[in-house]
Amino acid sequence: MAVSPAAQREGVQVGQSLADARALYPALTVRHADPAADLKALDSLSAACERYTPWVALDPFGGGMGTANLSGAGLWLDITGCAHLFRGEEALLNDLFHRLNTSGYRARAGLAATAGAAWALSRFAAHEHNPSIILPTGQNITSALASLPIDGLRLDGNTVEGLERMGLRKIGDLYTVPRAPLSGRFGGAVLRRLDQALGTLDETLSPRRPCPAFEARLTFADPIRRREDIDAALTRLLEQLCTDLERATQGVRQLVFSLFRVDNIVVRVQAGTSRPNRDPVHLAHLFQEKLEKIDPGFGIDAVALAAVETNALTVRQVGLDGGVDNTNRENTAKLVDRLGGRLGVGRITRLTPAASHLPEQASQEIPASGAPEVDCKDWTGPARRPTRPMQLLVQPLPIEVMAPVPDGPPVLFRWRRRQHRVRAAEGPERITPEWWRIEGDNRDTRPLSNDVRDYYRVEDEDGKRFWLYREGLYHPGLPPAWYIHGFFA
Amino acid sequence: MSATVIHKPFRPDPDVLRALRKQIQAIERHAPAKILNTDQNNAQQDETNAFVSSRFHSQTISLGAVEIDAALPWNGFPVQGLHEVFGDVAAHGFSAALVARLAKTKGGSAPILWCQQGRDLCGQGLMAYGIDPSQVIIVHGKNDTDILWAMEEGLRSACLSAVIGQLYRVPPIAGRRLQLAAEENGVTGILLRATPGKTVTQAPTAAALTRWRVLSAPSLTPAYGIGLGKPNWNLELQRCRLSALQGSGQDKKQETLGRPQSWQVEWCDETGDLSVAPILRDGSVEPQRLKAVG
Repeated sequence: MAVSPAAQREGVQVGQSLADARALYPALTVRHADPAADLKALDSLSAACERYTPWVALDPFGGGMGTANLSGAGLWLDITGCAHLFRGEEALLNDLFHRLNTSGYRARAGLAATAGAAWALSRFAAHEHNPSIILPTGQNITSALASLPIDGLRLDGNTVEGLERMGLRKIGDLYTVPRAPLSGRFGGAVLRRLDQALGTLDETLSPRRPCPAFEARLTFADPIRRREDIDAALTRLLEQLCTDLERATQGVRQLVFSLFRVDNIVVRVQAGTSRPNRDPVHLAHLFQEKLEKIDPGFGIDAVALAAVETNALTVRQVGLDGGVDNTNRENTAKLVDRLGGRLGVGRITRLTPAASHLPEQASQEIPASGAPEVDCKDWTGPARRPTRPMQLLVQPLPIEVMAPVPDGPPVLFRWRRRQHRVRAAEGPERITPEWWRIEGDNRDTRPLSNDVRDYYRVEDEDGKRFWLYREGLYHPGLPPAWYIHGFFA
Repeated sequence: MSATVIHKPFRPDPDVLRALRKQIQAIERHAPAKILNTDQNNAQQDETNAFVSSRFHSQTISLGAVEIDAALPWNGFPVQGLHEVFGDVAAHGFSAALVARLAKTKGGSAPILWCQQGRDLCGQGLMAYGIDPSQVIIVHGKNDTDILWAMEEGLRSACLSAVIGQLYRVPPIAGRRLQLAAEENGVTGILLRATPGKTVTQAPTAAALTRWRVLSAPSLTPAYGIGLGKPNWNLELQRCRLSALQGSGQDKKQETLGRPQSWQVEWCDETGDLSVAPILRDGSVEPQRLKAVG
């Protein structure tokens, strides 16, 4: 439950019944709580906060507070090593508040050396007139927290109530209480939270998105909008990132380019490579197509480029003969990246042999990016003799066939409303289904002989060649089903 | 002096003609303009030979049949450039036979870019044409625009041995761009403009170096009488760009170069060679074949 500042001025308070509030101010607008939308808003806010640090987490502590004016949700920002980029902690906080206020949020913040202390400060020390409390490093956390209520320790409602009944109302009261009876009575949570807030116990929080190992960021004094400026920023980031990668002998497999818009919306663009790569020119090329579709809104005031996935990439020595094979392979990988960048990775494929003798399964397509090297020797089967067509229909098409004998080649068939008179035929090549792949139930209900295929290569009067098959063995009284499966040249 | 010239039939000055040709050649190859300042020795040599060799550095592959190779002005199938193949299902076979030969040009390991819309390419089928399926990178375009873009991108990266694209419509500018990209990077581009089952009647590309039309022809019954013989195709060389650029007044051999010609060829799956089948060896199919070619 929350009350807007305007309503507060009219005397409406949190915790009042709706009838009382309406009596105070009849024109009161009432909205139902929408936790899902709240969470979504918080999520997009956390994405926007990634402009300050890659390490942003949603506050796991939700609700359960004794005082009702705290909904409990919040954001963690670990700004270790980031503050100097914004000229200090205070400047960073001011920037954050300015940004939140302009988009209509009222916020309170606490900044301290431990997560627990920051939590307590933001919720119980900060207030409307002084929304941000900074506890500089080195200052005594113990004394800063002493006067704050016990709620500041992130404890559940029952524990807080129990502590208050014992007269322990402030965090400072706990400092002098003997520890053993306390943990005996309330469990380990109280002391753990206290130690975490005071920094004697480590606390790990997991960030909302995994922190990339390699990242480069750039903030602008004035928001940029033009495509050329975005390109220039990308180039600078790539140079920085690739230098870092080279030092670590790593190459990029997956890149995420985040553009932080002024209106707190984050646009993310991804690009992948088929082989580890750290060539800035090539990587920039991968983003070209995608950047065209970006809507810069009212402007972009920060960008970040993260190498989400990296692989080892050692410096390779080029042979005295120029090392043709390697450079050729790299150029091919770059071409695959460029094609995949525009058309989609799934549309660039390579053929790979599969352990199956069914023609439609023997040759499979896999995405070319990251595909293992296949040797020519892996391709088994009929080597030179054209027993398999180059164009194999994905789905065999039924045809009407006239055959003199039920298990012989056809003399006439009709396909696409055209009649083809067969001049010569070769076959049959019998391909039986793979019984070892059939699942238990089907084995009993459907006899294998129904799926036996007798393939014929036939040539019609014009010299066109087709690959036809008859499905199933001959059963008297049943007309056999014929299909066309491919074309020979 | 000038009066006598007027009465003669118009005959262009060979020196002017030579200079103009070289100028066009320089524009087409983006060569430096100094090629125009030719010395006298150069001017004396055979124009056509100079033209052909300077344009293509005589990098050609053989199609396996001497007659067809000799009919092309390059004395073989030129590796650098864009080629267009029309026809029915046989056009696929002819293109595959070309690609198999081109794949062996750059050390034998340079990949082939195969751009098409459908997903009907079969690895074992490619092997039958002598193409190593692991060398093939397939691009599935959503439309012709995607395929044209992918082909151009492929032709611009010199690491490929051949780029083949199955297309329905090729705008003139796109064709020209492909041809330039193919020529600059020494990669062969093949525009395959046929679908199985139906013949595509689409406007051809003016920019392509050669245009072929390949139709299936009835094969000969093998000697032992059963089964299928080697596939036969009606191969028609419809156009060669070199011939259009050449002026008149050449000798007889050069006149026949690049002129529309047709052969009935047989493709041998064991060697991958084309061989010209002797005409009229199979009387019964002859009338039909003439109809198909005409």
